[in-house]
Amino acid sequence: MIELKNLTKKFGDFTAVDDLSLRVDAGEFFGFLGPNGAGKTTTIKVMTGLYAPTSGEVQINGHDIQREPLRAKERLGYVPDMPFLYEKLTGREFLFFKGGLFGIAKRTLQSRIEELVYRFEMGDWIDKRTEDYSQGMRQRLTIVATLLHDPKVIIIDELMVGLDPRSARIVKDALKERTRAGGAVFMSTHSLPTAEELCDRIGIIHHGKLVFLDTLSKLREQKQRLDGTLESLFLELTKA
Amino acid sequence: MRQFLIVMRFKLLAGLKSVFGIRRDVVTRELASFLVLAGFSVAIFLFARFVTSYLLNDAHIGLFLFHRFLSMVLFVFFLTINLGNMIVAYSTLYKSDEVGFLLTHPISFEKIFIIKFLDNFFHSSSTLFIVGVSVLAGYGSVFNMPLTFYLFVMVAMVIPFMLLAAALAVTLLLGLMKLATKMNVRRLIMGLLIGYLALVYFYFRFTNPMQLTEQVMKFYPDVNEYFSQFDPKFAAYLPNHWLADSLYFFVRGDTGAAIPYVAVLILATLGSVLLCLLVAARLYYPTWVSSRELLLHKPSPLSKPTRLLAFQSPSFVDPQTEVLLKKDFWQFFREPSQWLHLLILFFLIVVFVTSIVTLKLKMTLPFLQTVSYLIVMTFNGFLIASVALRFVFPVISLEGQAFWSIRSAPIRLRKVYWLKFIVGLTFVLVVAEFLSFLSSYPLREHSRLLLATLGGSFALSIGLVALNLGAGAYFADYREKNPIRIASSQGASLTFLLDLGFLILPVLLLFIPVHRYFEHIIFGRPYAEAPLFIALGTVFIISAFIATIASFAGLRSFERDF
Repeated sequence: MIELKNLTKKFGDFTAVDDLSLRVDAGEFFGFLGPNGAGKTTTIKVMTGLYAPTSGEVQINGHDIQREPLRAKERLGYVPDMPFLYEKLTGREFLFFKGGLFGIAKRTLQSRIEELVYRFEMGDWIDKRTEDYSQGMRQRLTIVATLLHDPKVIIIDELMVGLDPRSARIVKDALKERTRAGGAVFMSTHSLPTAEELCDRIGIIHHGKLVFLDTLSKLREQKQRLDGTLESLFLELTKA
Repeated sequence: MRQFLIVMRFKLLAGLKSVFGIRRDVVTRELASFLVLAGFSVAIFLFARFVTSYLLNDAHIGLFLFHRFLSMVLFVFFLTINLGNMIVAYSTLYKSDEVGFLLTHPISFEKIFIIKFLDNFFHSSSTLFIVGVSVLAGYGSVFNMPLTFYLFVMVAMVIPFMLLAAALAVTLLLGLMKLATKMNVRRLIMGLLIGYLALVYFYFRFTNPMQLTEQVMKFYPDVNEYFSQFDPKFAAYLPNHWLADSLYFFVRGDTGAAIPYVAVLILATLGSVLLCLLVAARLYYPTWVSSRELLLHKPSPLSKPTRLLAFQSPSFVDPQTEVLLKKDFWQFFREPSQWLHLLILFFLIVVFVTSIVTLKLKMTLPFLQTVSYLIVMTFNGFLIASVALRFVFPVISLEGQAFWSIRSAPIRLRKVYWLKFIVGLTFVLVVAEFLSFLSSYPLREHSRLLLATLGGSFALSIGLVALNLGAGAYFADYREKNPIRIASSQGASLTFLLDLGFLILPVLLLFIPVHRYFEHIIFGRPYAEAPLFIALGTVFIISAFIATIASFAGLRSFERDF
């Protein structure tokens, strides 16, 4: 579903992502970890077409994001690290806007919005302008907007920013449902417990290179060799 | 003082680092900006020199009348600085995140105000300062004034004059913000707008330049005595009058008579700045706090006409086009600075058109007729360029950081870009053709000239919209939310200079064919149609060429990493 082949992204002389290759299959929840500035957001921006790669390629649902961007994005959902929204639109208008960009028929869109707004408990906020939203409400709206077109692949940059525990639970459940239904989720996070709770496989990136890529069970084995915590393993793998 | 200096030092460092980056593209861009700005300054210098020399040496209007005209120009200059500072000050003082950041530190609110006031002054007056200095240099060169004159006028007269306008603007804004907590903001803004327009109207009504020029010959050669009787009593209290009068005495070599005016100007500036600081000490913090509450909106229920444009309503175009158009529409009309500027622009056009429609042009000299015709055409072009800069240039930046939602959707960016072009062009074309038709109304019997005006405006509109959209993409700043700041940024100033360069084109190309046409009408000389159509065709070709280049560069920038 997602395939990165020898992906490199440079900004001038600085290499943010260095020859990165990985694959996320259908039904898989992939956790992408790394310290600040490791290259997580850059990788995600290349995967979603916001950045052009310096070399290498990204395949989403079998389509190259650079060569066939429209086909690749048709069933791709993206949640950015900062939930920026069009501030003069109401939440509902933003959802209609996003749905329109994905070409969803108005009637289908209407019922889909009602369903997701109810599920994510957005209540009266949905008809207020997004400039009045808190960070958590913005994040919730972004996630609702991402799920509107029923994406097969979901890419999330920092899921838990600003979400209260109840919202976080709703989001986690919704994403797990997706993977159970055969979708793939690629999630970058700083939250080690979240990664342990949700992910089937984990990749750790450091200085633009993958320093760990394996299943959760393999990770647990490695953890036992240290003091049994993911934190210790993470610190060990990403020390300067 | 130490805190103040630290903040200013880091602001200066941040500004310098953004200007003098070591990246090749930054250096190229800054070098290009400098060259265009230098060219612009030289052009203003030459223009000011030519106008001063022409009016004094060829038209012989005399020093006194010249300085009365100069005073009127300075009045407009003063109001431009004043309005510019007030509009930008709302963003700088009330919407800037920096205020919130500084507030979390042990810095007094008075210091924060001074930092933001200076920030606002430099940001909104720097281009006008360059214009002012270039005009001063052109004017002074006609009188062979020494270097000390320029330095003195710049430091002791131009800067205080601009600072006075800025201080009054900010004081007024503080008062308005206080009033805004008690009354409807829209009514307040409309009241302010009407106040400014009334000020301009009454100033020109009482100073009456037409009356001055028409009756001057009756009193010849005692013109100075005659003119002094025309000075309205309130003129003595206006800063433009002080500046113009001091210049008048300086160029006559009567420094003693000039100094009192300079002193009054400096004292008035100091007084205004002091008043501004005192008002700010009382009002800035409470109005800043209440502005946070003003920023909270309650969505009003949709009325019938707008229901048609609601996202839920059915549409005849494809879903992507529909939502992009509706999104831009609502983003525009829910942003007060957008619709307010549109309203001001509409008012200016109505004033311009009503003045020009009633003109009775007498066919006397072909040269004068040609110049009048081309001046009106240039003014049309200037208005079109202003509209394009204010409303088309910012549209790409205004996508803001929410642009990710489009970039990650299955839509071609070219489609988004061209949609913005079409909307911008439609809007500008309506304004341009409406303006051109009505401004050509006094020449309605001359169908060729009407065609030249309408055709020229059409071609100019295409070129200007493409240029502004392309430059807007090239200089895009997705972090800036304020359309006014985007339209007054360095990139926008550069684009406007390019616009002005582009505007000279039809004037140069149409001059000879139009002149020949007037010779034909007035003196019955033979006239061939071909040169007029060739000139128009050339304007179209060059406009299309500029549009192609600008669109190519704009699209490339639009598609770059976000």
